[in-house]
Amino acid sequence: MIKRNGPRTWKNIHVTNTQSLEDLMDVDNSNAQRRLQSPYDFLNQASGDLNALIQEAKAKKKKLRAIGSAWALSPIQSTDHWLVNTKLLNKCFEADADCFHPDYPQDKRPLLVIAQCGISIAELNVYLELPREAGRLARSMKTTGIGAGQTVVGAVSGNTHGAAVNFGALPDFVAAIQLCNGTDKPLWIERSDRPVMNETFFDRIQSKPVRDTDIFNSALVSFGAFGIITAFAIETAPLYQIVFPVIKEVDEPKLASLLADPGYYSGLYHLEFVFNPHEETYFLIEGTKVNYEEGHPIPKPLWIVSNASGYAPGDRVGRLLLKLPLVSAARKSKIQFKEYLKNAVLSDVRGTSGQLFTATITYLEGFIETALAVSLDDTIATLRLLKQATRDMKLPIVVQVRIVHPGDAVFGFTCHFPKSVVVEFGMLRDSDYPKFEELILTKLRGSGIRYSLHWSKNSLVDPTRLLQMYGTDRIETWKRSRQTLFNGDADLMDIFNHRDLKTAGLA
Amino acid sequence: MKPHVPKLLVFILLLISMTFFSCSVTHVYQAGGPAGREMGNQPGTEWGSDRSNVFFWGAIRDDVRIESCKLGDGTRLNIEEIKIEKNLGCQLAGLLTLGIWQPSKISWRCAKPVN
Repeated sequence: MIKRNGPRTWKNIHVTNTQSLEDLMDVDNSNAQRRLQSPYDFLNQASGDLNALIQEAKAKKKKLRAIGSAWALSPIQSTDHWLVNTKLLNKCFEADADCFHPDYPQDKRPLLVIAQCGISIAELNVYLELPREAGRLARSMKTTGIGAGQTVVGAVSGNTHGAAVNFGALPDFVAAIQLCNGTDKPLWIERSDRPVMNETFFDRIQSKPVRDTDIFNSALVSFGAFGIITAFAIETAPLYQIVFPVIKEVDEPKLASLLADPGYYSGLYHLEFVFNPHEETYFLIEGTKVNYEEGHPIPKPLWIVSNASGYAPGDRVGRLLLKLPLVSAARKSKIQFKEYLKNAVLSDVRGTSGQLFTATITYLEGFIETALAVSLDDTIATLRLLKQATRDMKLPIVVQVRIVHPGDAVFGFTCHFPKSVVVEFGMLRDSDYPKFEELILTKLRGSGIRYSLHWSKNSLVDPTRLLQMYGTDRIETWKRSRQTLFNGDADLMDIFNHRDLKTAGLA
Repeated sequence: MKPHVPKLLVFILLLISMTFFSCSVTHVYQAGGPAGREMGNQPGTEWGSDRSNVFFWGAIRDDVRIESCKLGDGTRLNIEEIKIEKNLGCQLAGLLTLGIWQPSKISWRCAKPVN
C-alpha cells in the first residue's frame, strides 16, 4: 500500500543533501482488504502500486524517485517532487522449482533468491546466513561493501563496489531485474545469453520478459533513471567465511611489486589497503575465502564509535577537531588514521560476510566522501598524485583503496582492466572539498590516467567526463536501452530525469 | 521604546538559533542483532520530528505522539531510533528562563517490518 506523508524537508542519511519535497511516500507490503498469501502476491502488489504511482506522476507532470536507504552522498537519489521510500518492501524468497528456465543450471537454483527492492544488505545477510526453515540452505552474498545499511537495489544501482578482487562489484551478483517504469506492465529483464526464469514465473509476477544483454547491463547501474527497480534475482554462494590475517605494513616499492604480480592476488577474495597520505607506508588488508566452520568467535563489529557506556564523539566533533587551528594537517591525519586502524579495519578475524561487513554508521555530520576508480596498472601513479595534492593543500584525510574485478555494467565505474582500483577518501565538506576533487581529476587527466567516478558519491560527471569514462559506444548503448524500455515515451522518461542526469548530458 | 529593541533582537536571534543550529544531540537506538551479529540501525522510514516544550521544571510536559510508525493498512511498526536535539536557542531558553521553558526537538525513524 502507499502512504502519503505530505510535504517536508528531507535529508539523506549522511546529511550531505537537504531539500524540500512536495511529498514523501511510503510503499509497503500491507493490504487492508485481504491477506497476501504467496511471495508473488507481494511482488505483484508492490509493482502494481508503483506502476500506478508512476502513471499518476506522468499525468500530474511530477518527478519521482525511489530513495532506498538514502545512503548516496551525491544528490543522485533525490527530487523536490515525489520521493518514494521503498525500505518497507523487504521480502525475500526462493522461486518455485517450476519457475526456472531449462537452461538455468540445476546446481545454481538453490542459490538464487528473489529480493524485493527495500531489503538491506544486513537483512539479506541474515536471511541467507541464518535460514529459519528446515531444508533451506545457508548461503552468503558473493560480495558487499563495508556498509550493511544500504538497500541491495540502491547499492547495485550506484555500483557499490566492495573489494572482491576476483569476483567483482555488487551488480555482478544480479541475475535478473524487475523494473516498473509506468509502461503497461512491470518488466522482468535478463541477459539474452543467461536466461533465468520461465513463462510460469513471468505469469506469476505479471511481468513482461525482456531478454537483452545490453539492456540488462544498462539497467544494472542506472541510478533510478530507468524507473523503479522493484526486485532482483540474486545469485549467492554456499555459506563461506573470510579469514583476515593481521594487517601488514608495506612501503611503496613492496606495494608496487605485489600489485604487479597476479600470483599475489589470484588467491585472495578481498583486497584493500589504507594509508595516511602524509606518511609513506600502506597497510594491506587481505581476506581469503575459506569453508564455513562452526566455533569461531563472532568478529567485533567495526565502525562502532561509542564505548560500552554509550559515550561517543558528538555529531559535530569530527568537524570541530579537523578545523582546529595551530595543529598541522599531518598531525590531524596521524590521529585520524590511528583511530581508523583501531575501529574500521578487518585484522586478525574470521567470519561470514554478514558478520564482517556490518557498518551502518552515519557519517559524522559535515563530512563527505569521494571515490574514483583507475586501472590496477595506474595505481602507484594515482597514489603519488593524490599524496602530493593532499600535502599541497594541507588536508587531513585518510585514504582507502579497494581492488575489484571489472564488471559488465555499461555504466559500472569498476570497469578497468586488469582490475579496478577504487580510491576513496572522506573529508570535511567545506570550501576545500570541491577544489580538492577538481585538483585530483585535473591531475589525473594531465597524467593521462583514465578514471571513472562513483555515481553515488560524486556529482562531477559532465558530458566530457562521461565520454572519457565510458566512450561513445557505451553511452549510446545506455541511452538506447533506456529509450527502448520506455517505448520512447518522453513524458515517462522525464519523470526520472534528474539534475545529475542532465549534468551528464544523459537527459 | 529603546529597551524593547534589544529584547526583540534577542528573541529573533533565539528563534533563528533554535531553528538552524544544533548544539547537543542524543541518539537512542537498538544495538545487536540475531546470532550475535551487529545489525546497526535498519530504519523502515525517513526521519519524522516534532518539537517538545516542557514548562515549569516539568510540571507541564509536552509529549511527542508518534503516529507515523504504521503501514498503509494501519499495522504498527516499532521505533528504530530516536534523536533528541537541543540547539543553542533551546539551551539559551532553558538558561534565560531558569528552566521554566525547556524546548527540544525529538526525531524518530520507524523500524522495518520483520521479514
